[in-house]
Amino acid sequence: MNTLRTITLSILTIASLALLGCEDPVPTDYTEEVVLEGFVIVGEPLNNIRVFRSLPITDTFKIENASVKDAVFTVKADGTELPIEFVDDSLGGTYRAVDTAYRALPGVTYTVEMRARGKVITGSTKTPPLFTWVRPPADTFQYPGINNELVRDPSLDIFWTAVPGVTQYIISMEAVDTLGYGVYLTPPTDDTNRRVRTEDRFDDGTLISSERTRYGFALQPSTPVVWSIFKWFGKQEIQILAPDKAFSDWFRMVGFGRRSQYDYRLSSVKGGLGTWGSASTIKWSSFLKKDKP
Amino acid sequence: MLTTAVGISLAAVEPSPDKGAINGFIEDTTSKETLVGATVMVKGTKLGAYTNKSGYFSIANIPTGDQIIVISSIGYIRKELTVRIEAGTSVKLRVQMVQSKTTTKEVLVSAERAEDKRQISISQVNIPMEQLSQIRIGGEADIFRALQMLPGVLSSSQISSGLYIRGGSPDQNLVLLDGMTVYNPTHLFGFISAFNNDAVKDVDLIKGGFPAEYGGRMSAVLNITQKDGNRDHVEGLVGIGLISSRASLQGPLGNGSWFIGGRATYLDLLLGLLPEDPESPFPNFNFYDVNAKLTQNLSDDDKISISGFLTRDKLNFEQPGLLFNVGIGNRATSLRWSHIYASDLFSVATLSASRYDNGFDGNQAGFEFAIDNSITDYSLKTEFEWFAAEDLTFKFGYEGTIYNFTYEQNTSGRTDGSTNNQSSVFLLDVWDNIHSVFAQNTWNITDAVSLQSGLRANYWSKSEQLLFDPRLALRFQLTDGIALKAAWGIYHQYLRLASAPDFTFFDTWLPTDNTVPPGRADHYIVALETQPFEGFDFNVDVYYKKLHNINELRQNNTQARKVSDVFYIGNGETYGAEFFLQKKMGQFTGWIGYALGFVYSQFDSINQGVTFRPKFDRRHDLKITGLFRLNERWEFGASFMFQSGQSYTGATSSLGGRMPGWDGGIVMVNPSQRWGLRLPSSHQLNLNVNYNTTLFDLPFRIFLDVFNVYSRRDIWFRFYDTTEAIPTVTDVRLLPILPTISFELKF
Repeated sequence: MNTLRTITLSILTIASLALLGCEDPVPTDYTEEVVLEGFVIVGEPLNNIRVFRSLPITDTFKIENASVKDAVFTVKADGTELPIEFVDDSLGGTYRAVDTAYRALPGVTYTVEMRARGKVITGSTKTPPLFTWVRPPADTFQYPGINNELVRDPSLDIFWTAVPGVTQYIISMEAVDTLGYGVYLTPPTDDTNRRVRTEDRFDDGTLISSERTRYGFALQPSTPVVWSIFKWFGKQEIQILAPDKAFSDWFRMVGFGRRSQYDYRLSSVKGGLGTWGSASTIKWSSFLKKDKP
Repeated sequence: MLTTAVGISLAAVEPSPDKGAINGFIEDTTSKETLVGATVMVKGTKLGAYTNKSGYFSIANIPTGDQIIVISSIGYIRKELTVRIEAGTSVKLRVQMVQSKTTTKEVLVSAERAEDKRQISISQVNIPMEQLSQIRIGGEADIFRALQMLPGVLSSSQISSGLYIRGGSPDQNLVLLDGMTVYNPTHLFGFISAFNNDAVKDVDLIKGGFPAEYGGRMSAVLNITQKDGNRDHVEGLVGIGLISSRASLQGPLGNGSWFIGGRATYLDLLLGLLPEDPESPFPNFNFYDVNAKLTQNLSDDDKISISGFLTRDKLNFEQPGLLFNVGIGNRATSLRWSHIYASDLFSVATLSASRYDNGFDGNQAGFEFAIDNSITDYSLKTEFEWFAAEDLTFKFGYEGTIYNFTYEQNTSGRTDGSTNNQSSVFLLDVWDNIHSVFAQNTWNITDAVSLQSGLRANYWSKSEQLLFDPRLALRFQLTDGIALKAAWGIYHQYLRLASAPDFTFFDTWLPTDNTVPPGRADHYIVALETQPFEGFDFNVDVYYKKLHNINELRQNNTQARKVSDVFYIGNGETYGAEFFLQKKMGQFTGWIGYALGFVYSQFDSINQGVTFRPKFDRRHDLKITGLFRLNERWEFGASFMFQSGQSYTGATSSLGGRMPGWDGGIVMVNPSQRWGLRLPSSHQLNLNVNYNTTLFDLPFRIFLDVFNVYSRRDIWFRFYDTTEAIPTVTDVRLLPILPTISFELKF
């Protein structure tokens, strides 16, 4: 029994000591990754392509600091190569088809092979077919006010034709003029535009999301008007996107839910990070009237 | 000295011609409640038995003549009585035991639980309710919280009562309440368990290697027995705590008893007293539960009981532009019939129905949505226990369950029925059934060696699969105080739970269809049970568990039409060792437990196929509890736990992401190995003082609890806050020190 007592106490002592020192410190090691972000939108020029590298987590991520400007592309549409060039701008620049008159076609397979910083990233997407409005948005919406947002007006529901193979539609609402408001009224006024509600800001007061476009999704080819999707009052471009799976997955990653961590399962390219997706689209112009001047 | 009555009657049975037998029930003298796990021994022989869940025992092949029968049970005064054994007959006993609260002498405080060498029960923990009730959170005694203080039983966090047992997730545990399966045994989205301690008589946890009588789960069995009720007189209890209040009432009825108890929270009332910002209001939340049981002895050989269990959690939140309601609940009932065919043949038949449902509906800026799901089972279980010989016992039976799974998801934006678009209104209504037969025997090969073998066959209608679960357990008594045990078994699981690890919010049970294989676990366990010091048990369990076809939720998939759309399927393994030193008797009771555990998972679609450890994996796990009963008025308790931190995922760099049309974009971090890093260790000390007094001449107890005494705020989870200009590691921490006072009045 004395032996057992000794064993028991020894085990408990060792176990207590072993409990200490299991913590892993937060790592700061940097591993560079190359990111390809490309979207093929049916009926639009091939110009939504970015290449950049990831940055150390100890730095502020700015696309202009991360941009990769010397990538070599091979993009093909159903096997026919489309030459790609880099166009610089203040946001790090983008890649586009050399033939600026080129418009992406429905039902075509676009492949990409991109070489940069020692990486080869490949992807493939087949553009979805065209579709049309069944009942487009109203030309003018009257914002009901934040305390009445829950009240739904069925007459404002929108409908479009179903796209075979598409299980999730993306709805985008873009404020096309963040300054002018009264100029679109009849009679015109000098009223300026403003945001519907205050946006989240960084600690230094700058807006986290300075973009003018808000996205939502619908699992069916119709949806009620959702007031919270509007970022700004005034002139809007309402767009329905019928995405392929790659585009849809990227939307889940960055457009809906605001993930803070990259998810490899939502990436559609091989050899690096990013997406190579496509969508067909329909658009409509509307105007969101303020609940108060 | 012993003032309780002993009822003795003769029954016609068929023991060995030259020997006799005894059988019967062991009860509490005051309430006449049957006692589970009481030991009945024939003094001077190696003959003995434990009472089963019905309080029944049977001992055969007893030499004729006057025999001294020794009965003991934790918390009761040991009792000896002389019984005349006659050849060819069986004596039926109904023995009543006196509780041991009136003395402080250790030898009398608790009866010694004599070790029955036939008891194979590997990895089985039976904690007396008295001890379980001393482990409280926020003044609430909680069975699951108490079980989390056992080595090898982990939680996902301090605010979760989910039981992660030996690397298995909570959905891999079979939770039974009077034979009814309970599918979501929690309140407050997992914060506390749904079982009211006042209504519970016995709690049995089998952490692995469970016998063939149990099936349908891969990891563990938690078998809870409700109180029958006081057969002697009406009594009641009222308790007031921080989170909830509770009340129970019980009494005799005919040739039996009844019990009803309930709890309800008043968090919503408390929140209503606080000043509220209309732009950011508090959510309204409340829960309640009800336990009820009715028991009748139809004859000496027949007993029926009807049990009911009802829980409901409701959450309502409304602010400008947003409204949602959540409702979660269990409803279960069972009819149980215990019948003694002969002194050596005992049966229990249980007819039960259990339903768990949750619903979520809301309106965001004019977009209406609703999600509802439920699982309902209708079960029949018949079980026969045949004490064939002194060294051979058989158990066999049938279990059949009809399941109904429903799932309704309306994301059309319109929940008034005006939509006719089926792609956004998903309705699932699946009926399925499972039939199982099982047989097991316990054979005392020699005085030192016992073997339990069993086989369970399961037929699943939906997937048309017939699968066999063999089970084997061995006990070898090395010396008087040391036993070596081993167990092996295959365990299939048919049900899968879609759930987030930290909240039981939208828990959805799903069947195994033909798109995924059934889950399976292979258990290998070796255990050493010893009594190193007088009054102490010290057990060491070493286990290895191979997990096949386990699942992780596919959180990225918003449209699921089959089970494989909902889950990623993978494999895993878990192994470790547990050390458990327990003192069950005396003025001071408690335990020290330490577990060393390893859990690994591998999914082709997760972590790029690389093996990872789940978030709840903790390498070291030390638990200490103690209860000191100073005198009849004062009791002092403490519990302490020290664990390795949970896992978190680090980052190797940051990147941007945008949609076409965005000028900027969002920032994300690129993750390193999934759950590859470990948070700081968790540790926590809780203290409690109980003061027993009277109020209006009625027993009155005051409980003072201090949760998290030194206010160590454990990290719930760690993430990178990418809304900051530079991604910032952010820790979300759990509760600080929380002193509470609660009261209990018995009448």
